[in-house]
Amino acid sequence: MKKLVLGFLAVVMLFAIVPSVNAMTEEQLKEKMEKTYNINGTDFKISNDMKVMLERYLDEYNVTSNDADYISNKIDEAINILKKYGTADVNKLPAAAKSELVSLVEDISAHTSVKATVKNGKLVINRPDGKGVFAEFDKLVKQTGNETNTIAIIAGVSFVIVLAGAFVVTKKFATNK
Amino acid sequence: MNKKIIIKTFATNVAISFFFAAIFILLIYIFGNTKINYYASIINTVAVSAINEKEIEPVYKVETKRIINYPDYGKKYGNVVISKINLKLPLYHGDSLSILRYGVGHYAGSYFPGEGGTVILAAHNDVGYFHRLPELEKGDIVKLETNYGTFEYKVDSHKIVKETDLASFPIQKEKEMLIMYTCYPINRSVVGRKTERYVVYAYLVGDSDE
Amino acid sequence: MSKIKTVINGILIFTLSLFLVILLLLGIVKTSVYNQESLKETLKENNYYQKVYTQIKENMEDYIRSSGFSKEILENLYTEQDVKNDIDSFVSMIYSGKVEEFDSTKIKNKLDENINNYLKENNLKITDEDSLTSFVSELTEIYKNEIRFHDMINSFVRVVPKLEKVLNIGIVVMLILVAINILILYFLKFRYQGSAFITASLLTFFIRFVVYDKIDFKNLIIFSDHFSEILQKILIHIADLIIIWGIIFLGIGIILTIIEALIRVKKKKKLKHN
Repeated sequence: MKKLVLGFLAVVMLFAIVPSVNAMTEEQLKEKMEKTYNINGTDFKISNDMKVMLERYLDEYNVTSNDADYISNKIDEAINILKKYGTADVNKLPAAAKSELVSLVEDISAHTSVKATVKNGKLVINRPDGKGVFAEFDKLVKQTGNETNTIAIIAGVSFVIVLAGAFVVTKKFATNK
Repeated sequence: MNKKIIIKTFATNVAISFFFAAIFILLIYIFGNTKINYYASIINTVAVSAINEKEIEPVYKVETKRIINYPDYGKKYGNVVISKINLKLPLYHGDSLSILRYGVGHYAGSYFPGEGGTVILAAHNDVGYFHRLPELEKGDIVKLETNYGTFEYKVDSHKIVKETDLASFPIQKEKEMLIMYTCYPINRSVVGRKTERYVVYAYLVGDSDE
Repeated sequence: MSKIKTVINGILIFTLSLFLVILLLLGIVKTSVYNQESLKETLKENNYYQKVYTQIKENMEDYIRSSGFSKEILENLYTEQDVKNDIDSFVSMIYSGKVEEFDSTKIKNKLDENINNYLKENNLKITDEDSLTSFVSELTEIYKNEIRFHDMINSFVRVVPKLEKVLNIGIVVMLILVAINILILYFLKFRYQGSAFITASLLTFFIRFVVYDKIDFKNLIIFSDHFSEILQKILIHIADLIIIWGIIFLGIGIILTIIEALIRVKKKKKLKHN
């Protein structure tokens, strides 16, 4: 259950929305989220199934050029926290690390219009306008990645999801794509 | 004269009240507004509307193999039709236990039919669900009739795997592959928590609604 | 009135209105959130116990669907009264500040009994004891999670009595300050006492319609739909209380103003007569 809370914090970061100053394109941001990070000698990246959901979310909702910087900074902050404590495994993180990550997610939550909650034991991500569910995450991880040493996370096995950061969206109008 | 005094007293009191209230409100805005908005925003993270507006139907772009307006998690978006085993079940996006109560669940971490990647579907092994999945043979057709198009898949193979064998559920986008699974053993002589899965693999043969 | 007296008068009105609003907010939290009996009453009025009972039943049925067991094994596992007792115990636990482990023995034993009976009646044997153990354990978790939601509540439980202490001290301090303020205003014959209450009422309305409305409390969803419903009801109740007290303050302010006006009229008449 503790894992679920931390997973909640982590996935909230993934789907948060906030306006900010820009430098990156959506494509660059997606690359940053999907790349492999090395923490304490071990490579981590998000799992393939999480990548699918991330792509789907980015497909529906644009990251404006004004927002990517904020997200990029949050990703860097999260990685630095994990590097500072030498692990991406939530089970091994000390209370201080969890506290820092909680503050990070609270900050994103406060500055964005992310819609996420814990309901019936699951982490539920809603669409940015609050109406309709985008995804639910149960305790199981269904898929791991391949080439590098990866840890897939939904309910908090590690903080790989934290690497995905938060991003800002504006709804795409679904006519001419 | 008395009236004048009464009106003056009232007016003075009201004026003082508004003056002090204005000072308070100004102080709250200057010193507290950021904090109030900060905590309100955190709390509003879990403010989600329970009511859905009229849904916009998904639209499928064949050229790009992309879907506009993905179905919400928990929503029915089609049917699974397998003539060989006389099966027609509603297809939902998401595969939580409460969804599987009603039909076939589509794993949200896999692609949607038509996107050119792995589509993972799950259903219970009860009668009326996937209990006849083992009867499928190579060459049998599975149709996914979605609200944005119909997709046919030809069964290729099957296997029985441990529930933790995630490598048997590869998420990829090189080829459109359909993976259907259910808890195994299917028969009722083995009871309790099923730790194996009966998995059927099929590949896309065509899009009937082009 | 001398200039100094006017300034002191203004400060006393300013502070009195502030103390009144703080006292109101603390009082509302004390009587609505920190009131165990009131909370249990709210649960009862909203059929919370029945809803949780039904939800547990549905969740368990969903879970056993692919297991090969029939719904028979869930019979007489627990009653609505059991659910009520467990929820009430959980509520009491929160207010006591002491975390107690959930005792699932009764359900587990009953479930074991039902499973054994089912196996005997259907001439079945268990080949994997471990998977049966985890099956029973997960069903028990379903019951526990609908009652207690999430273990993260435990860290909040420990803080509850400390917060209550702070709340009680705050209320006592505010009562004393309000009393002192009123007494000074009265005995030193300061004026415009009614404006303190009218100011408090304006602030109350501001809090209700500006600050409170920043939170979309009608749509807060957390832990479960039933819990969210209760949470929303409590928050709406608090919103109503804020308005009611705003109106009460306004009424008191108007009455005091009228009294002050009448006193001034009386004084004027006396002066004229003399």
